Amino acid sequence: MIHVQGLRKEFGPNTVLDGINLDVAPGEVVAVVGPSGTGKSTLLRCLNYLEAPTAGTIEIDGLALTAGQETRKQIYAMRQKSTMIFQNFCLFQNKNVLENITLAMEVVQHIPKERAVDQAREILRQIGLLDKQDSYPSTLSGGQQQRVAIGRAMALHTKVMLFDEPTSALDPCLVGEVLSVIQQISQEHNTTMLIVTHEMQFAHDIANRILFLEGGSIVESGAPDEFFYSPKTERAKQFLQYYSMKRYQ
Amino acid sequence: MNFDLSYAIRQFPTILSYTGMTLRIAIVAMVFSVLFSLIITIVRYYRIPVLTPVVNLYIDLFRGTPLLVQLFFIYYGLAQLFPIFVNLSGYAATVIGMTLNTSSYMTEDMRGALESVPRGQVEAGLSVGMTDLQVMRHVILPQAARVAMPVMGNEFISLVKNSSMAFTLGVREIMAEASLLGTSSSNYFECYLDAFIVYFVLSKIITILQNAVERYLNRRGGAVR
Repeated sequence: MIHVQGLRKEFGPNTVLDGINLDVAPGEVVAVVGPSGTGKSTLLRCLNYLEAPTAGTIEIDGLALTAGQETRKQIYAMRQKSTMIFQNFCLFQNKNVLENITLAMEVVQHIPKERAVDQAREILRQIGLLDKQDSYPSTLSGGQQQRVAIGRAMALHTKVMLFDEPTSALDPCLVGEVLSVIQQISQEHNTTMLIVTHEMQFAHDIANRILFLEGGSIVESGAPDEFFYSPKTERAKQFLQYYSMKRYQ
Repeated sequence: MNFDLSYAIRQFPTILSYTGMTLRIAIVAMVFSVLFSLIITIVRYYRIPVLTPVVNLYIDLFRGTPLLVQLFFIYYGLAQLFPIFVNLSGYAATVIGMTLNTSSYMTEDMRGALESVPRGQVEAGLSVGMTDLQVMRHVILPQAARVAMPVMGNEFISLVKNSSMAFTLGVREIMAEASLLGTSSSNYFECYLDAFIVYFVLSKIITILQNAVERYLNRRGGAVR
């Protein structure tokens, strides 16, 4: 589903991604973990082409773009292959909950309004926010906003969903509701997911594979049990030790 | 000191009746200003090559010179050089001059409003597959419009007040009528007092309307963050 080769991203003199190679199978759920500032978010943003890579090739669902040769049209097409869930939700502030979900359905996918509204209501029912359909984002809690953001992404039925630290901006007591929605999608739909997270328990439970990034490279990649209970690299061990001291187990 | 109150009261309806012309100038200039500012703001927002320096030069020129000079330049100056401008009416010259003048300031208000919309809103729009233009239309502009609303109200009040300069181009509006009546009767104080009151009340009414619109927008959709 996702095929990344030699992906590099530089911001001025800083190399944020230093040659990433990555293959993700259809329906696979990959958790991306690692210390802050190691390029996890940038990797996701490159996949969604919110950042243009400096070098390398990205292929999602049969559409391959090579850095430096992409056209505007191809970039738009690539962005439609995946949807992104942001750390700070980024709901459209001028739209109510229902409109947040239907906007891209109507404008991008040209689904007739009535059908879009029906589908959006069904999604709101699934994420338990049907009673909030007329509310504006600024009146919702962080957890509710993030669930709507996930609903907005679900509505587009893209094969790939990218989660950029979906619970980092939430009160600890609101983290659970968001994680359970993500869990629900991964079980009910065959969506390929890349999840950047600092919730190690969640990463362990939801992912088929853990990707450990540090310094812009993939340092270790393996099944959750393998990674968490018998990490191979020294750096992964140090990272996990830090977490086990902080909160894991 | 002789103040003829009854003269002031008698002439008030006459002067008031030219409110229509004053408002017409202000409204037409406002509509053109909003459209024109929007275009040049978008040129600057996306830093479109070639057009951006041209637009910046225009802004510099119109901010650096007085409105009255601009109006005279357009009405009297251009007609001398280009025959096509001879037929330009005082009203049209006023609207053109005030549009160009107001836009050179309004574009800065609009840019501020556009930039007040968080980057995340743009990215959210792009990430769901919208084009830059669609994001601009459905997400950025509506939010920026809310932010810009108070300043736009003030710009409109300025237009109403500045439209008084139109009398120098022979347009009959509030100020022109007050001057005319004042000169013919030598009751300057009474006539300009009437004009004073009309302009002041107009400004007040517009301010009240502006606040009502803002309250309505805030109710509908919560305050902008």
